[in-house]
This record gives sequence, structure tokens and C-alpha cells, in this order.
Amino acid sequence: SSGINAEYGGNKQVPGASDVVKHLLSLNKNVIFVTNNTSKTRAAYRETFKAVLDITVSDNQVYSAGISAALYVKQKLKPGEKIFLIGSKGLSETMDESGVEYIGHGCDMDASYFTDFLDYIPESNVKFVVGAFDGYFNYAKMAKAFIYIKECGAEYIATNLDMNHSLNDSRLLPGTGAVLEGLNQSLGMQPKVLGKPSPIMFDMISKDHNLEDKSKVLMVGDTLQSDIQFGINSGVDTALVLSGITSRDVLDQEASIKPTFIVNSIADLLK
Amino acid sequence: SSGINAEYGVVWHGLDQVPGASDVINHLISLNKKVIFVTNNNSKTRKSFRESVQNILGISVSNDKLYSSGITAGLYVKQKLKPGEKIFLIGTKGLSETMDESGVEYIGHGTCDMDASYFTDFLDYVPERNVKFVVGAFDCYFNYAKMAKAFIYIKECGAEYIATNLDLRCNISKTRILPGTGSVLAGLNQSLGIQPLVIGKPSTIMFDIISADHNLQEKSKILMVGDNLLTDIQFGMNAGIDTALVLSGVTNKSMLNEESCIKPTYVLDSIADIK
Repeated sequence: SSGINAEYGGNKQVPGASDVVKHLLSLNKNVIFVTNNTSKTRAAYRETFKAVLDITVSDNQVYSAGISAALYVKQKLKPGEKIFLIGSKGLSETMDESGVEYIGHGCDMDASYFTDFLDYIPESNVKFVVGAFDGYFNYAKMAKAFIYIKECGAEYIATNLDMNHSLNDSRLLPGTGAVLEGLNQSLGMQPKVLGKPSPIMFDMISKDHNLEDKSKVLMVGDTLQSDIQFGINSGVDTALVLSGITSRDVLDQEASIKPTFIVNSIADLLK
Repeated sequence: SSGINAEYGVVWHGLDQVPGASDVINHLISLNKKVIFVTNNNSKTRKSFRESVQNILGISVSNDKLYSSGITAGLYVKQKLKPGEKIFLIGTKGLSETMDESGVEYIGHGTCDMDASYFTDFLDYVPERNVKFVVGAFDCYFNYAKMAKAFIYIKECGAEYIATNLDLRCNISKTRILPGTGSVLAGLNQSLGIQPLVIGKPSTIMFDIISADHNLQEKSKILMVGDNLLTDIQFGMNAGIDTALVLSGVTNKSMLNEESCIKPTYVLDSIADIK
């Protein structure tokens, strides 16, 4: 059977996590890690799991919204076709890792006014616009992405659309959704979202790992709106851990998203 | 009495005047009518605007006859800023020069902001003090660092948030539409969960400021002339004054016929028809 774990932020393991995961692996359970993060390649994740959890994972045990975006477009791109990429350096490396050709990534200082785009000629063979957190996303990139989608018919996907990001619970900031919001509003459409709680990642994982029996799959996570909702949308059991973002109070206040199980931390899964 | 003219499409197209425009305006001025120019464009200082009016129409106007959403944003914040207080400015070079012209101190403007590569770059960010406004306008260089700072000034420091306009799209040519100023600011607005106070037409803020500057007491003696139903004519309606739509610009007869809510008082082929 499989356990799908949401990853946890930070560089220290939740106490006991490493033991739990090792134990599950020793029982021949398929443990897969699923995160909405887009800044790490599979190679970087392998290193992180080794360093933080002292576990060796193989590439196909790690899925992030960024990795999934790369796999998603890779499946559909014909030779010579490419994507317009809005995202971090880590995401561009993830695209490299998957052999996806991209343009548009990085810092674009081309435009100073709308009129700079009067004679702009888009490149041909750009089949997707992939949107993710990008510190450099400015008007030039937004206009080009808009043109690729509206004039060239590129398919538009995004890793996630969270409108706000909470920094260690002390500072609220605009999130990836805010970065892409202007593009979405001017287009009058929403991208296809790959990150949790969309079940797209589950579909990919299912196929890659041949998960036939959903009753044998458990989704473990600390966030109701992404992890638990992801499990619900995918039709699998869920376990909420209270060691992360969600406290008992928040859980009690949230009436619509109900986990199958509730544990204090992942260490309790051994019991 | 006063005539308030919307600028492009009414008195000029690009670098050429609408035929007869300068004659009409000179005539109105000779009849002692006050002619005031009002535009949503925010890339020109009053000085540059004056030069355009001189070059294209051959008319000399004083600064106080020229209002744009940028100029008005400058006047609006200037009225309210105490010495030592400043604004966080999102906008073009032209808008920053407009702020200079009005003596408004600003931070945050320009092409080069910190390279914010991730949210965590803002963990220890300490905002400057005395930033009382965030002013939002079209800015090609608006990136995540600017958005996060603007967000912090509004949410954590209580800065008042105003914008020149929120048009989601911009028709740059017959064949190409692009995201507009509203799209540049949409992420900031949605993540804050608030909309800025909009200075540009059809908001009446420019009318209130023009009214106060020019002591316009009798609304019945004012006519707003413009080529755009949604901005110019709606502006006149919101301000409670008569409007004249000219068909020499963005609006043609069939668009006028399709529009059921926004009704101009008068409809003219061009400004030259004002007799």
C-alpha cells in the first residue's frame, strides 16, 4: 500500500518523522512525498531527504508542483516545441532536469511602456505558458505570456494560485496567486492548477506507481485546504497532523474539510 | 462658464490635432470660457503637457488648466502630506517627474529594485517610516519586490492606497490587446483584499479637485466633452454635469447605439461642431 506524505518546510525533521518513514519503507509500503513547492529539482530533494531525514529516496518518490508541471508538459510537447516559463531558478532547473525547452525565464527589462509591444513578434512553437512564483515577473513577462496565450493559443497551467503567503506566521505577503492575478484577470481566464488540492498530481502519481486500490492509499498532511482537500479530491483517506500549520482551534473552526484521521504528529502513525 | 475637455481623440490624435480643434478652443477662450484639459494619461508632467498643447494646438495654457490622473494624484497626496512625509510610488518615469513637479517625496520608484527571489527575502524587511501613501500606476518594472513592499506599507503601516486607473486591458492597436494598469495592480489588490481609491475618470476625484482649484460653483455651466463613454461621459455623469460625446475618437455610432446605460447630453461628430 502507499502512503503519500505532504512534505514539511524547514530544515529540521519533525521529531520521529525519519523513524516513521523508515518503518513504513521497511514494511514495503510505497512512501511518496508531495509538495506545492516549486524551487527544488528532484536531485535537490534527494539531497534534502538524505540530510534532514537520513533517507534515500528515488526520483519517482518525489512530486512537487514544479516537478509535476515539468512532467505534465514533457508528456505533451513534440520535438522542437517549448514553453514560456514564469518561475524561479529552481523551477527552470527542474525543467532542465526533465528535458523541457523554455523561453522567457529570468529578468526581462525589455519594456518601458505598452507601446514597446506594438511590433512584438512571438516565437513559434510555444505550446504552454507555465506560471509559478517568480520574483522577476514584471510587465514585459506578463505581456508576453498574455500574447502567447491569447494570440498563439498556448495552454496555460500554474503550479498554485495561493493569494497570500504567511512567513512564519509573523508576516503576511502576496503569494503566487497575486503574482499571476493580473495575467489571469486581463485574460479573463484561470490557468489549470497542478498543485494541491487539484488532483492532477494524484493522477500522475497513480499512473507512475500503478496505484490501483485507492483504499490502500493514505494522504498525510498538515494543511486542510491543500493536503486534506487534495486527498478528498483524489478519493483517498486522509490524516491531518497537528504538528504543522493547523492547530486544534483551526481544525475545529473549519467545518467543511474533514480528515479521515487526526494525529498529533507523523510519529503517531506508528501506533 | 467652463468647458472641460478630455484630451486624446477629442483635441488630438497622436501628434495631429483633430481638424478644427484649436479654432474651437481659441474661440471658447475668447468668449471668456474656461477650458480645462482632463486626461487619464499619467506619463506627462504639467510642463510637458503644456508643450504638447502648444505644439499640436498652437495654444498657450497655464498649468492650472491641465489635469491628468498622474498630476491629480500628485496634487491629492501633496494636500495631505505633512513635512517629512512621503509616498511609495509605483509608476513610470513621467509620473515620478510629475511628483517632483509637485514637490512630493517618494521612495520605491525605478527600474531596479532588490531581486526578491523568494518570500523569505522579506523575513527581516523593515519598512521606512513616514510613508503615508502608496500610489499605484502603470509600471513596467513592477515586480514581486515592489508588490511585497507596497503590501507591507498598506497592511502593516496603514498607508492610504490610491491608483491612477484600473483598466484591465489596453488596446494598443487594432490587432493587439494587452494587459493594462489594472492588471499590473490586480495581484496587490487581491492579496490585500482591498481596492485603491481611483483618481482617474470616471471617478469624480479629479472633478472635486478641479472644482476646488477653479471655484466652480455652478454645475449647470459646465460641459464635459469626451470621446469615451466609460471614462469621459461616465465621469461627467458622476460629477453631475452635462456631457458631449464626440465621435472623432474611440467611440463610433454603433458603439453608442449599443450602450444603454451611459447617455451623453449631446452627441457631436467632432469638437469642431461646438458652436
